[in-house]
Amino acid sequence: MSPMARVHRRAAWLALALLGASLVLLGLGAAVGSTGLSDLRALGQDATAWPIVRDIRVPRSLGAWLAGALLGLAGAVAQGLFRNPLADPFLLGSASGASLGVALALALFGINPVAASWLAALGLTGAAFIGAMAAVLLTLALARGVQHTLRLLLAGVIVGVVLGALGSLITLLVPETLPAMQAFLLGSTGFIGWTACAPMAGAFVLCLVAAWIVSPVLDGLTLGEATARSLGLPLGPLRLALVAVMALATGAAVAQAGLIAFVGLAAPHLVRSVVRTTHARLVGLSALAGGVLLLGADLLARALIAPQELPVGVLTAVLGGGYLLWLMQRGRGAKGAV
Amino acid sequence: MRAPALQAAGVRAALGGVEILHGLDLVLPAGRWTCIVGPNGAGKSTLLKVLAGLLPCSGEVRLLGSPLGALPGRERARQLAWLGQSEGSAEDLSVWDVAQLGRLPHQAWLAAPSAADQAAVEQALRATQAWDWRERPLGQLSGGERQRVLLARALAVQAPVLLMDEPLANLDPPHQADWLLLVRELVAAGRTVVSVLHEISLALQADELVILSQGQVAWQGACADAATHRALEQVFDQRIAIHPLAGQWVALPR
Repeated sequence: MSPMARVHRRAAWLALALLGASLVLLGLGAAVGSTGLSDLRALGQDATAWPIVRDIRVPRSLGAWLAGALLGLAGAVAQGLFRNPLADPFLLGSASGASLGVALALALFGINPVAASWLAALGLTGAAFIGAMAAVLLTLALARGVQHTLRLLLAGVIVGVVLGALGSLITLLVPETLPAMQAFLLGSTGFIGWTACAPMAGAFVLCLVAAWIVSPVLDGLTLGEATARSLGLPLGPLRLALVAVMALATGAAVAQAGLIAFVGLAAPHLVRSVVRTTHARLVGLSALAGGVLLLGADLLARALIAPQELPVGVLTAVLGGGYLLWLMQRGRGAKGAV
Repeated sequence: MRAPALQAAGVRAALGGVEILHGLDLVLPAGRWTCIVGPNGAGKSTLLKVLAGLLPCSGEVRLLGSPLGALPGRERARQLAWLGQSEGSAEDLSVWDVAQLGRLPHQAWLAAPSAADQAAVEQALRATQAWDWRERPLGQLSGGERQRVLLARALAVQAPVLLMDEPLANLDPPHQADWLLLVRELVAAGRTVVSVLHEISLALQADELVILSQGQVAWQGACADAATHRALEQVFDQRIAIHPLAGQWVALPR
Protein backbone atom coordinates (compact mmCIF):
# COMPACT_ATOMS: atom_id res chain seq x y z
CA MET A 1 0.00 0.00 0.00
CA SER A 2 1.29 3.46 -0.85
CA PRO A 3 2.43 5.46 2.19
CA MET A 4 0.14 8.23 0.96
CA ALA A 5 -2.98 6.04 0.63
CA ARG A 6 -4.88 8.05 3.26
CA VAL A 7 -4.30 11.37 1.46
CA HIS A 8 -5.17 9.82 -1.89
CA ARG A 9 -8.39 8.38 -0.46
CA ARG A 10 -9.31 11.78 0.94
CA ALA A 11 -8.69 13.41 -2.47
CA ALA A 12 -10.86 10.74 -4.12
CA TRP A 13 -13.68 11.37 -1.63
CA LEU A 14 -13.48 15.12 -2.26
CA ALA A 15 -13.62 14.53 -6.02
CA LEU A 16 -16.70 12.33 -5.59
CA ALA A 17 -18.38 14.88 -3.30
CA LEU A 18 -17.70 17.72 -5.76
CA LEU A 19 -18.96 15.62 -8.69
CA GLY A 20 -22.10 14.76 -6.71
CA ALA A 21 -22.64 18.44 -5.82
CA SER A 22 -22.16 19.36 -9.48
CA LEU A 23 -24.85 16.90 -10.57
CA VAL A 24 -27.31 18.07 -7.89
CA LEU A 25 -26.70 21.73 -8.80
CA LEU A 26 -27.05 20.97 -12.52
CA GLY A 27 -30.41 19.31 -11.76
CA LEU A 28 -31.48 22.34 -9.72
CA GLY A 29 -30.27 24.66 -12.49
CA ALA A 30 -32.55 22.86 -14.94
CA ALA A 31 -35.53 22.85 -12.55
CA VAL A 32 -35.34 26.43 -11.24
CA GLY A 33 -36.81 29.22 -13.33
CA SER A 34 -38.34 32.65 -12.85
CA THR A 35 -41.43 30.91 -11.48
CA GLY A 36 -39.49 29.00 -8.86
CA LEU A 37 -38.65 25.31 -8.49
CA SER A 38 -40.51 22.88 -10.75
CA ASP A 39 -40.54 19.10 -10.94
CA LEU A 40 -38.22 18.09 -13.78
CA ARG A 41 -40.41 15.06 -14.64
CA ALA A 42 -43.43 17.32 -15.06
CA LEU A 43 -41.37 19.76 -17.16
CA GLY A 44 -40.40 16.87 -19.45
CA GLN A 45 -44.10 16.30 -20.23
CA ASP A 46 -44.80 19.99 -20.86
CA ALA A 47 -44.40 20.91 -24.54
CA THR A 48 -44.07 24.65 -23.76
CA ALA A 49 -41.71 24.37 -20.81
CA TRP A 50 -39.40 21.64 -22.09
CA PRO A 51 -37.70 23.75 -24.86
CA ILE A 52 -36.94 26.38 -22.18
CA VAL A 53 -35.29 23.76 -20.02
CA ARG A 54 -33.44 22.16 -22.95
CA ASP A 55 -32.27 25.29 -24.76
CA ILE A 56 -31.91 27.85 -21.97
CA ARG A 57 -31.64 26.43 -18.44
CA VAL A 58 -29.51 23.34 -19.12
CA PRO A 59 -26.88 25.02 -21.37
CA ARG A 60 -26.77 28.00 -19.03
CA SER A 61 -26.19 25.82 -15.98
CA LEU A 62 -23.68 23.65 -17.78
CA GLY A 63 -21.99 26.81 -19.10
CA ALA A 64 -21.78 28.29 -15.58
CA TRP A 65 -20.20 25.05 -14.35
CA LEU A 66 -17.72 24.99 -17.26
CA ALA A 67 -16.76 28.67 -16.79
CA GLY A 68 -16.24 28.07 -13.06
CA ALA A 69 -14.21 24.92 -13.75
CA LEU A 70 -12.02 26.81 -16.25
CA LEU A 71 -11.44 29.61 -13.74
CA GLY A 72 -10.71 27.15 -10.90
CA LEU A 73 -8.21 25.35 -13.10
CA ALA A 74 -6.61 28.63 -14.18
CA GLY A 75 -6.35 29.69 -10.53
CA ALA A 76 -4.65 26.44 -9.46
CA VAL A 77 -2.18 26.72 -12.35
CA ALA A 78 -1.48 30.41 -11.62
CA GLN A 79 -0.92 29.81 -7.89
CA GLY A 80 1.46 26.93 -8.60
CA LEU A 81 3.26 28.61 -11.48
CA PHE A 82 3.85 31.88 -9.64
CA ARG A 83 4.33 30.16 -6.26
CA ASN A 84 1.93 32.64 -4.84
CA PRO A 85 -1.33 31.83 -3.06
CA LEU A 86 -2.73 35.20 -4.18
CA ALA A 87 -2.16 34.59 -7.86
CA ASP A 88 -5.46 34.63 -9.69
CA PRO A 89 -6.27 35.11 -13.36
CA PHE A 90 -7.69 38.54 -12.43
CA LEU A 91 -4.76 39.72 -10.32
CA LEU A 92 -2.27 38.95 -13.09
CA GLY A 93 -4.14 41.05 -15.63
CA SER A 94 -5.21 38.14 -17.82
CA ALA A 95 -8.92 38.75 -17.29
CA SER A 96 -8.56 42.44 -18.26
CA GLY A 97 -6.52 41.33 -21.27
CA ALA A 98 -9.24 38.88 -22.22
CA SER A 99 -11.92 41.56 -21.90
CA LEU A 100 -9.84 43.93 -24.05
CA GLY A 101 -9.59 41.15 -26.65
CA VAL A 102 -13.37 40.75 -26.57
CA ALA A 103 -13.91 44.54 -26.80
CA LEU A 104 -11.61 44.70 -29.81
CA ALA A 105 -13.37 41.77 -31.48
CA LEU A 106 -16.76 43.39 -30.85
CA ALA A 107 -15.59 46.74 -32.23
CA LEU A 108 -13.74 45.38 -35.27
CA PHE A 109 -15.98 42.51 -36.33
CA GLY A 110 -19.24 43.39 -34.64
CA ILE A 111 -19.48 39.99 -32.96
CA ASN A 112 -22.31 39.99 -30.50
CA PRO A 113 -21.78 37.84 -27.41
CA VAL A 114 -25.46 36.97 -27.52
CA ALA A 115 -25.05 35.74 -31.11
CA ALA A 116 -25.94 32.12 -31.41
CA SER A 117 -23.34 31.34 -34.04
CA TRP A 118 -20.80 28.70 -33.14
CA LEU A 119 -18.11 30.56 -35.10
CA ALA A 120 -18.81 33.81 -33.22
CA ALA A 121 -18.40 32.01 -29.90
CA LEU A 122 -15.13 30.50 -31.08
CA GLY A 123 -13.94 33.89 -32.42
CA LEU A 124 -14.62 35.56 -29.06
CA THR A 125 -12.77 32.77 -27.24
CA GLY A 126 -9.80 33.24 -29.59
CA ALA A 127 -9.78 37.02 -29.07
CA ALA A 128 -10.05 36.58 -25.30
CA PHE A 129 -7.24 33.97 -25.32
CA ILE A 130 -4.88 36.27 -27.26
CA GLY A 131 -5.75 39.19 -24.96
CA ALA A 132 -5.21 37.08 -21.82
CA MET A 133 -1.91 35.66 -23.06
CA ALA A 134 -0.62 39.13 -24.03
CA ALA A 135 -1.64 40.57 -20.66
CA VAL A 136 0.12 37.83 -18.66
CA LEU A 137 3.29 38.18 -20.74
CA LEU A 138 3.15 41.95 -20.25
CA THR A 139 2.74 41.49 -16.48
CA LEU A 140 5.68 39.07 -16.39
CA ALA A 141 7.84 41.48 -18.43
CA LEU A 142 6.96 44.40 -16.15
CA ALA A 143 7.63 42.34 -13.01
CA ARG A 144 10.88 40.99 -14.51
CA GLY A 145 9.93 37.40 -13.80
CA VAL A 146 7.96 35.72 -11.07
CA GLN A 147 10.40 35.76 -8.16
CA HIS A 148 9.31 39.00 -6.56
CA THR A 149 5.75 38.55 -5.29
CA LEU A 150 4.97 42.17 -4.58
CA ARG A 151 6.34 43.35 -7.93
CA LEU A 152 4.34 40.65 -9.70
CA LEU A 153 1.06 41.61 -8.07
CA LEU A 154 1.72 45.30 -8.59
CA ALA A 155 2.51 44.73 -12.26
CA GLY A 156 -0.70 42.67 -12.55
CA VAL A 157 -2.76 45.47 -11.04
CA ILE A 158 -1.15 48.06 -13.37
CA VAL A 159 -1.69 45.92 -16.47
CA GLY A 160 -5.26 45.23 -15.35
CA VAL A 161 -6.06 48.91 -14.90
CA VAL A 162 -4.41 50.03 -18.16
CA LEU A 163 -5.99 47.29 -20.29
CA GLY A 164 -9.33 47.87 -18.56
CA ALA A 165 -9.08 51.57 -19.47
CA LEU A 166 -8.25 50.71 -23.08
CA GLY A 167 -11.31 48.45 -23.16
CA SER A 168 -13.48 51.33 -21.87
CA LEU A 169 -11.96 53.62 -24.50
CA ILE A 170 -12.97 51.21 -27.27
CA THR A 171 -16.50 51.08 -25.89
CA LEU A 172 -16.58 54.86 -25.88
CA LEU A 173 -15.34 55.10 -29.47
CA VAL A 174 -17.71 52.40 -30.75
CA PRO A 175 -20.88 52.98 -28.70
CA GLU A 176 -22.72 50.09 -30.42
CA THR A 177 -20.63 47.67 -28.36
CA LEU A 178 -21.74 49.30 -25.10
CA PRO A 179 -24.71 47.04 -24.18
CA ALA A 180 -22.79 43.87 -25.01
CA MET A 181 -19.72 45.07 -23.11
CA GLN A 182 -21.76 46.09 -20.08
CA ALA A 183 -23.26 42.61 -19.76
CA PHE A 184 -19.77 41.25 -20.27
CA LEU A 185 -18.15 43.43 -17.62
CA LEU A 186 -20.79 42.56 -15.02
CA GLY A 187 -20.22 38.89 -15.66
CA SER A 188 -23.31 36.93 -16.53
CA THR A 189 -24.19 33.39 -17.42
CA GLY A 190 -27.58 34.44 -18.79
CA PHE A 191 -26.45 34.44 -22.42
CA ILE A 192 -24.71 31.08 -22.44
CA GLY A 193 -26.33 28.70 -24.91
CA TRP A 194 -25.22 25.39 -26.37
CA THR A 195 -23.01 27.23 -28.90
CA ALA A 196 -21.07 28.87 -26.07
CA CYS A 197 -20.78 25.59 -24.13
CA ALA A 198 -18.97 23.89 -27.02
CA PRO A 199 -15.77 26.04 -27.07
CA MET A 200 -15.71 26.08 -23.26
CA ALA A 201 -15.97 22.28 -23.07
CA GLY A 202 -13.26 21.92 -25.71
CA ALA A 203 -10.96 24.37 -23.91
CA PHE A 204 -11.68 22.67 -20.57
CA VAL A 205 -10.69 19.20 -21.78
CA LEU A 206 -7.59 20.60 -23.51
CA CYS A 207 -6.50 22.66 -20.48
CA LEU A 208 -7.18 19.86 -17.99
CA VAL A 209 -5.12 17.33 -19.96
CA ALA A 210 -2.31 19.84 -20.60
CA ALA A 211 -2.20 20.98 -16.96
CA TRP A 212 -2.13 17.37 -15.76
CA ILE A 213 0.74 16.52 -18.14
CA VAL A 214 2.80 19.51 -17.01
CA SER A 215 1.85 19.21 -13.30
CA PRO A 216 5.21 17.70 -12.13
CA VAL A 217 6.78 21.07 -12.98
CA LEU A 218 4.37 22.79 -10.58
CA ASP A 219 5.37 20.34 -7.83
CA GLY A 220 9.07 20.90 -8.58
CA LEU A 221 8.64 24.67 -8.53
CA THR A 222 7.31 24.56 -4.97
CA LEU A 223 10.92 23.93 -3.92
CA GLY A 224 12.16 26.97 -5.81
CA GLU A 225 13.55 27.60 -9.25
CA ALA A 226 17.11 26.33 -8.61
CA THR A 227 15.96 23.03 -7.10
CA ALA A 228 13.42 22.49 -9.89
CA ARG A 229 16.18 22.97 -12.47
CA SER A 230 18.55 20.73 -10.52
CA LEU A 231 15.94 17.97 -10.90
CA GLY A 232 16.35 18.19 -14.69
CA LEU A 233 12.95 19.81 -15.32
CA PRO A 234 12.90 21.80 -18.60
CA LEU A 235 11.45 24.91 -16.98
CA GLY A 236 11.49 27.30 -19.96
CA PRO A 237 9.14 25.53 -22.40
CA LEU A 238 6.95 24.00 -19.69
CA ARG A 239 6.44 27.34 -17.97
CA LEU A 240 5.32 28.83 -21.28
CA ALA A 241 2.93 25.89 -21.71
CA LEU A 242 1.47 26.62 -18.27
CA VAL A 243 1.02 30.32 -19.08
CA ALA A 244 -0.77 29.24 -22.27
CA VAL A 245 -3.02 26.86 -20.30
CA MET A 246 -3.86 29.62 -17.82
CA ALA A 247 -4.54 32.14 -20.61
CA LEU A 248 -6.70 29.71 -22.62
CA ALA A 249 -8.72 28.66 -19.56
CA THR A 250 -9.27 32.29 -18.50
CA GLY A 251 -9.92 33.44 -22.07
CA ALA A 252 -12.47 30.68 -22.75
CA ALA A 253 -14.37 31.41 -19.51
CA VAL A 254 -14.24 35.21 -19.80
CA ALA A 255 -15.25 35.20 -23.49
CA GLN A 256 -18.53 33.42 -22.71
CA ALA A 257 -19.39 34.45 -19.15
CA GLY A 258 -17.73 37.86 -18.82
CA LEU A 259 -15.69 39.04 -15.87
CA ILE A 260 -16.34 36.75 -12.92
CA ALA A 261 -14.10 37.56 -9.98
CA PHE A 262 -12.59 35.43 -7.23
CA VAL A 263 -13.68 31.94 -8.40
CA GLY A 264 -10.14 31.31 -9.68
CA LEU A 265 -8.67 32.51 -6.40
CA ALA A 266 -11.06 30.76 -4.03
CA ALA A 267 -11.40 27.30 -5.66
CA PRO A 268 -7.81 26.10 -5.02
CA HIS A 269 -7.90 27.50 -1.46
CA LEU A 270 -11.12 25.59 -0.76
CA VAL A 271 -9.56 22.36 -2.04
CA ARG A 272 -6.40 22.91 0.03
CA SER A 273 -8.47 23.46 3.15
CA VAL A 274 -9.75 19.87 2.76
CA VAL A 275 -6.79 18.01 1.28
CA ARG A 276 -3.17 18.94 0.60
CA THR A 277 -1.91 17.03 -2.37
CA THR A 278 0.24 17.22 -5.51
CA HIS A 279 -0.68 19.47 -8.42
CA ALA A 280 -1.78 16.54 -10.61
CA ARG A 281 -4.73 16.15 -8.23
CA LEU A 282 -5.04 19.79 -7.13
CA VAL A 283 -5.64 21.03 -10.68
CA GLY A 284 -8.53 18.62 -11.29
CA LEU A 285 -10.06 19.16 -7.83
CA SER A 286 -9.82 22.96 -8.20
CA ALA A 287 -11.64 22.71 -11.53
CA LEU A 288 -14.44 20.71 -9.89
CA ALA A 289 -14.58 23.18 -6.97
CA GLY A 290 -14.66 26.14 -9.38
CA GLY A 291 -17.55 24.55 -11.28
CA VAL A 292 -19.53 23.96 -8.06
CA LEU A 293 -18.80 27.51 -6.80
CA LEU A 294 -19.89 29.32 -9.95
CA LEU A 295 -22.92 27.12 -10.60
CA GLY A 296 -23.93 27.55 -6.96
CA ALA A 297 -23.47 31.32 -7.22
CA ASP A 298 -25.46 31.33 -10.47
CA LEU A 299 -28.39 29.58 -8.79
CA LEU A 300 -28.20 32.06 -5.93
CA ALA A 301 -28.09 34.98 -8.40
CA ARG A 302 -31.24 33.64 -10.01
CA ALA A 303 -33.05 33.05 -6.71
CA LEU A 304 -32.14 36.06 -4.54
CA ILE A 305 -34.41 38.65 -6.19
CA ALA A 306 -36.56 36.30 -8.31
CA PRO A 307 -38.26 36.73 -10.75
CA GLN A 308 -35.42 39.14 -11.58
CA GLU A 309 -31.82 38.01 -11.40
CA LEU A 310 -28.48 39.45 -10.33
CA PRO A 311 -25.45 39.32 -12.63
CA VAL A 312 -23.49 36.40 -11.17
CA GLY A 313 -20.21 38.38 -11.43
CA VAL A 314 -21.55 40.88 -8.88
CA LEU A 315 -22.41 38.05 -6.50
CA THR A 316 -19.03 36.29 -6.81
CA ALA A 317 -17.25 39.62 -6.30
CA VAL A 318 -19.12 40.23 -3.04
CA LEU A 319 -18.86 36.64 -1.76
CA GLY A 320 -15.28 36.16 -2.98
CA GLY A 321 -14.15 39.49 -1.53
CA GLY A 322 -15.66 38.51 1.81
CA TYR A 323 -13.88 35.15 1.66
CA LEU A 324 -10.57 36.84 0.91
CA LEU A 325 -11.01 39.25 3.83
CA TRP A 326 -11.81 36.31 6.10
CA LEU A 327 -8.66 34.51 4.90
CA MET A 328 -6.57 37.61 5.64
CA GLN A 329 -8.13 37.96 9.07
CA ARG A 330 -7.41 34.30 9.84
CA GLY A 331 -3.87 34.67 8.50
CA ARG A 332 -3.20 37.43 11.01
CA GLY A 333 -3.67 35.14 14.02
CA ALA A 334 -2.07 31.99 12.72
CA LYS A 335 0.18 31.32 9.75
CA GLY A 336 -2.61 31.31 7.15
CA ALA A 337 -2.72 31.01 3.41
CA VAL A 338 -2.60 34.77 2.79
CA MET B 1 42.33 6.26 -11.65
CA ARG B 2 38.93 7.70 -10.73
CA ALA B 3 38.03 10.97 -12.53
CA PRO B 4 37.64 13.93 -10.19
CA ALA B 5 34.02 14.52 -9.13
CA LEU B 6 34.09 18.13 -10.27
CA GLN B 7 36.61 20.29 -12.11
CA ALA B 8 36.42 24.01 -12.80
CA ALA B 9 38.83 25.77 -15.14
CA GLY B 10 38.94 29.53 -15.67
CA VAL B 11 35.39 29.93 -14.32
CA ARG B 12 33.96 33.43 -14.32
CA ALA B 13 30.43 34.08 -13.07
CA ALA B 14 28.45 37.22 -12.35
CA LEU B 15 25.39 38.07 -10.26
CA GLY B 16 23.33 41.11 -11.24
CA GLY B 17 26.07 42.33 -13.58
CA VAL B 18 28.80 42.13 -10.91
CA GLU B 19 31.53 39.52 -11.45
CA ILE B 20 31.75 37.28 -8.36
CA LEU B 21 34.10 34.51 -9.52
CA HIS B 22 37.23 35.73 -11.32
CA GLY B 23 38.69 32.93 -13.45
CA LEU B 24 38.61 30.27 -10.75
CA ASP B 25 40.35 26.86 -11.08
CA LEU B 26 39.42 23.92 -8.85
CA VAL B 27 39.61 20.12 -8.78
CA LEU B 28 37.40 18.26 -6.29
CA PRO B 29 38.34 14.60 -5.76
CA ALA B 30 35.67 11.88 -5.95
CA GLY B 31 34.69 9.89 -2.86
CA ARG B 32 35.59 12.68 -0.42
CA TRP B 33 33.79 15.31 1.60
CA THR B 34 34.97 18.77 0.67
CA CYS B 35 33.84 21.90 2.47
CA ILE B 36 33.90 25.34 0.86
CA VAL B 37 34.49 28.14 3.37
CA GLY B 38 35.38 31.80 3.21
CA PRO B 39 34.34 35.25 4.42
CA ASN B 40 30.92 36.68 3.55
CA GLY B 41 30.74 37.65 -0.11
CA ALA B 42 33.69 35.43 -1.13
CA GLY B 43 31.47 33.67 -3.71
CA LYS B 44 30.85 30.33 -1.93
CA SER B 45 27.18 29.92 -2.89
CA THR B 46 27.87 31.27 -6.39
CA LEU B 47 30.62 28.67 -6.85
CA LEU B 48 28.33 25.87 -5.67
CA LYS B 49 25.62 26.98 -8.12
CA VAL B 50 28.14 27.11 -10.96
CA LEU B 51 29.37 23.58 -10.06
CA ALA B 52 25.74 22.40 -10.11
CA GLY B 53 25.14 23.95 -13.53
CA LEU B 54 22.49 26.30 -12.10
CA LEU B 55 24.26 29.56 -12.95
CA PRO B 56 25.65 30.51 -16.36
CA CYS B 57 29.41 30.98 -16.39
CA SER B 58 32.35 31.25 -18.75
CA GLY B 59 35.17 28.74 -18.53
CA GLU B 60 34.66 25.01 -18.15
CA VAL B 61 33.04 22.83 -15.51
CA ARG B 62 33.32 19.04 -15.70
CA LEU B 63 31.20 16.56 -13.74
CA LEU B 64 32.80 13.12 -13.34
CA GLY B 65 34.95 13.89 -16.38
CA SER B 66 32.16 15.06 -18.73
CA PRO B 67 31.56 18.71 -19.67
CA LEU B 68 28.63 19.78 -17.45
CA GLY B 69 27.01 22.00 -20.10
CA ALA B 70 26.85 19.14 -22.61
CA LEU B 71 24.98 16.77 -20.27
CA PRO B 72 21.20 16.53 -20.84
CA GLY B 73 19.25 17.95 -17.87
CA ARG B 74 17.92 14.61 -16.58
CA GLU B 75 21.28 12.90 -16.95
CA ARG B 76 22.95 15.69 -14.96
CA ALA B 77 20.18 15.48 -12.35
CA ARG B 78 20.87 11.74 -11.86
CA GLN B 79 24.61 12.36 -11.40
CA LEU B 80 24.41 15.43 -9.18
CA ALA B 81 21.95 16.20 -6.38
CA TRP B 82 21.51 19.74 -5.11
CA LEU B 83 20.31 21.09 -1.78
CA GLY B 84 20.00 24.86 -1.91
CA GLN B 85 19.72 27.52 0.75
CA SER B 86 16.14 28.45 1.69
CA GLU B 87 14.45 26.29 -0.92
CA GLY B 88 10.84 27.20 -1.77
CA SER B 89 8.19 26.68 0.86
CA ALA B 90 6.22 23.74 -0.65
CA GLU B 91 3.74 24.31 2.20
CA ASP B 92 1.05 22.09 0.74
CA LEU B 93 3.07 19.08 -0.33
CA SER B 94 3.40 16.23 2.14
CA VAL B 95 6.82 15.18 3.40
CA TRP B 96 6.56 12.04 1.25
CA ASP B 97 5.65 14.04 -1.88
CA VAL B 98 8.59 16.41 -1.33
CA ALA B 99 11.08 13.54 -0.93
CA GLN B 100 9.49 11.82 -3.93
CA LEU B 101 10.46 14.84 -6.08
CA GLY B 102 14.05 13.61 -5.74
CA ARG B 103 13.08 10.63 -7.89
CA LEU B 104 11.88 12.77 -10.83
CA PRO B 105 15.18 12.40 -12.76
CA HIS B 106 14.80 8.59 -12.61
CA GLN B 107 11.13 8.34 -13.60
CA ALA B 108 9.40 8.41 -16.96
CA TRP B 109 7.19 11.52 -17.20
CA LEU B 110 4.00 11.09 -15.11
CA ALA B 111 4.87 7.46 -14.37
CA ALA B 112 3.80 6.11 -10.98
CA PRO B 113 6.78 5.65 -8.62
CA SER B 114 8.35 2.20 -8.99
CA ALA B 115 9.19 -0.06 -6.05
CA ALA B 116 12.80 1.14 -6.35
CA ASP B 117 11.64 4.78 -6.16
CA GLN B 118 9.54 4.06 -3.08
CA ALA B 119 12.43 2.22 -1.44
CA ALA B 120 14.83 5.13 -2.17
CA VAL B 121 12.39 7.66 -0.69
CA GLU B 122 11.79 5.53 2.40
CA GLN B 123 15.52 5.04 2.90
CA ALA B 124 16.16 8.79 2.57
CA LEU B 125 13.35 9.72 4.98
CA ARG B 126 14.53 7.17 7.53
CA ALA B 127 18.14 8.38 7.18
CA THR B 128 17.07 11.91 8.17
CA GLN B 129 14.57 10.67 10.78
CA ALA B 130 11.69 12.21 8.86
CA TRP B 131 9.84 8.96 8.10
CA ASP B 132 7.29 9.40 10.90
CA TRP B 133 6.00 12.67 9.43
CA ARG B 134 5.63 11.35 5.87
CA GLU B 135 1.93 12.23 5.63
CA ARG B 136 2.24 15.70 7.17
CA PRO B 137 2.32 18.82 4.97
CA LEU B 138 5.71 20.54 4.95
CA GLY B 139 3.98 23.75 6.08
CA GLN B 140 3.25 22.17 9.50
CA LEU B 141 6.91 21.42 10.30
CA SER B 142 9.47 23.53 12.16
CA GLY B 143 12.49 25.02 10.34
CA GLY B 144 14.82 22.21 11.47
CA GLU B 145 12.31 19.46 10.64
CA ARG B 146 11.80 20.99 7.21
CA GLN B 147 15.55 21.06 6.60
CA ARG B 148 15.72 17.33 7.31
CA VAL B 149 12.94 16.67 4.79
CA LEU B 150 14.72 18.77 2.15
CA LEU B 151 17.92 16.84 2.88
CA ALA B 152 15.94 13.60 2.38
CA ARG B 153 14.74 14.96 -0.97
CA ALA B 154 18.36 15.47 -2.06
CA LEU B 155 19.39 12.03 -0.72
CA ALA B 156 16.50 10.34 -2.57
CA VAL B 157 18.16 11.27 -5.89
CA GLN B 158 20.89 8.73 -4.97
CA ALA B 159 23.36 10.72 -7.09
CA PRO B 160 27.11 9.97 -6.86
CA VAL B 161 27.79 13.69 -6.25
CA LEU B 162 25.87 15.70 -3.63
CA LEU B 163 26.14 19.51 -3.41
CA MET B 164 24.73 21.24 -0.32
CA ASP B 165 24.59 24.94 0.47
CA GLU B 166 24.41 25.55 4.24
CA PRO B 167 22.71 22.20 4.97
CA LEU B 168 22.99 22.68 8.74
CA ALA B 169 20.91 25.85 8.81
CA ASN B 170 18.12 25.49 11.41
CA LEU B 171 19.46 22.15 12.72
CA ASP B 172 20.01 21.75 16.45
CA PRO B 173 23.35 20.27 17.66
CA PRO B 174 22.11 16.63 17.91
CA HIS B 175 20.83 16.79 14.32
CA GLN B 176 24.03 18.51 13.19
CA ALA B 177 25.87 15.51 14.63
CA ASP B 178 23.48 13.17 12.79
CA TRP B 179 24.18 15.06 9.57
CA LEU B 180 27.95 14.65 10.06
CA LEU B 181 27.45 10.92 10.60
CA LEU B 182 25.27 10.67 7.50
CA VAL B 183 27.85 12.47 5.35
CA ARG B 184 30.59 10.14 6.59
CA GLU B 185 28.44 7.13 5.67
CA LEU B 186 27.80 8.57 2.20
CA VAL B 187 31.51 9.16 1.64
CA ALA B 188 32.36 5.68 2.97
CA ALA B 189 29.94 4.33 0.34
CA GLY B 190 31.96 6.08 -2.37
CA ARG B 191 29.79 9.19 -2.83
CA THR B 192 31.20 12.71 -3.13
CA VAL B 193 29.86 15.45 -0.87
CA VAL B 194 30.59 19.14 -1.42
CA SER B 195 29.10 21.55 1.09
CA VAL B 196 29.24 25.25 1.86
CA LEU B 197 29.35 25.83 5.63
CA HIS B 198 29.80 29.12 7.43
CA GLU B 199 30.50 27.37 10.74
CA ILE B 200 34.29 26.82 10.50
CA SER B 201 34.51 24.28 13.34
CA LEU B 202 31.96 22.05 11.58
CA ALA B 203 33.69 22.59 8.22
CA LEU B 204 36.96 21.41 9.78
CA GLN B 205 35.37 17.95 10.21
CA ALA B 206 35.47 17.47 6.41
CA ASP B 207 38.23 15.66 4.51
CA GLU B 208 39.26 18.71 2.50
CA LEU B 209 38.79 22.43 2.75
CA VAL B 210 38.51 24.88 -0.14
CA ILE B 211 39.05 28.41 1.14
CA LEU B 212 37.58 31.10 -1.08
CA SER B 213 38.50 34.75 -0.94
CA GLN B 214 37.28 37.47 -3.29
CA GLY B 215 36.12 35.04 -5.97
CA GLN B 216 39.36 33.04 -6.08
CA VAL B 217 40.56 29.83 -4.43
CA ALA B 218 42.93 31.07 -1.72
CA TRP B 219 43.80 27.57 -0.47
CA GLN B 220 42.84 23.94 -0.91
CA GLY B 221 44.10 21.24 1.42
CA ALA B 222 43.36 18.60 4.03
CA CYS B 223 41.45 19.84 7.09
CA ALA B 224 44.03 18.36 9.47
CA ASP B 225 47.01 20.20 7.86
CA ALA B 226 48.62 23.02 9.81
CA ALA B 227 49.09 24.90 6.50
CA THR B 228 45.29 24.80 5.95
CA HIS B 229 44.75 26.24 9.43
CA ARG B 230 47.23 29.05 8.73
CA ALA B 231 45.52 29.82 5.42
CA LEU B 232 42.16 29.96 7.20
CA GLU B 233 43.45 32.36 9.85
CA GLN B 234 44.98 34.55 7.16
CA VAL B 235 41.80 34.70 5.02
CA PHE B 236 39.83 35.74 8.11
CA ASP B 237 42.41 38.51 8.87
CA GLN B 238 43.80 36.61 11.90
CA ARG B 239 40.43 37.19 13.64
CA ILE B 240 40.08 33.45 14.28
CA ALA B 241 42.45 30.88 15.73
CA ILE B 242 42.32 27.11 15.14
CA HIS B 243 42.81 24.98 18.26
CA PRO B 244 42.79 21.24 18.89
CA LEU B 245 40.04 20.06 21.27
CA ALA B 246 39.15 16.46 22.14
CA GLY B 247 40.69 15.11 18.95
CA GLN B 248 38.95 17.70 16.72
CA TRP B 249 39.81 21.14 15.41
CA VAL B 250 37.78 24.14 16.50
CA ALA B 251 37.86 27.74 15.29
CA LEU B 252 37.56 30.36 18.03
CA PRO B 253 37.37 34.13 17.63
CA ARG B 254 40.52 35.97 18.68
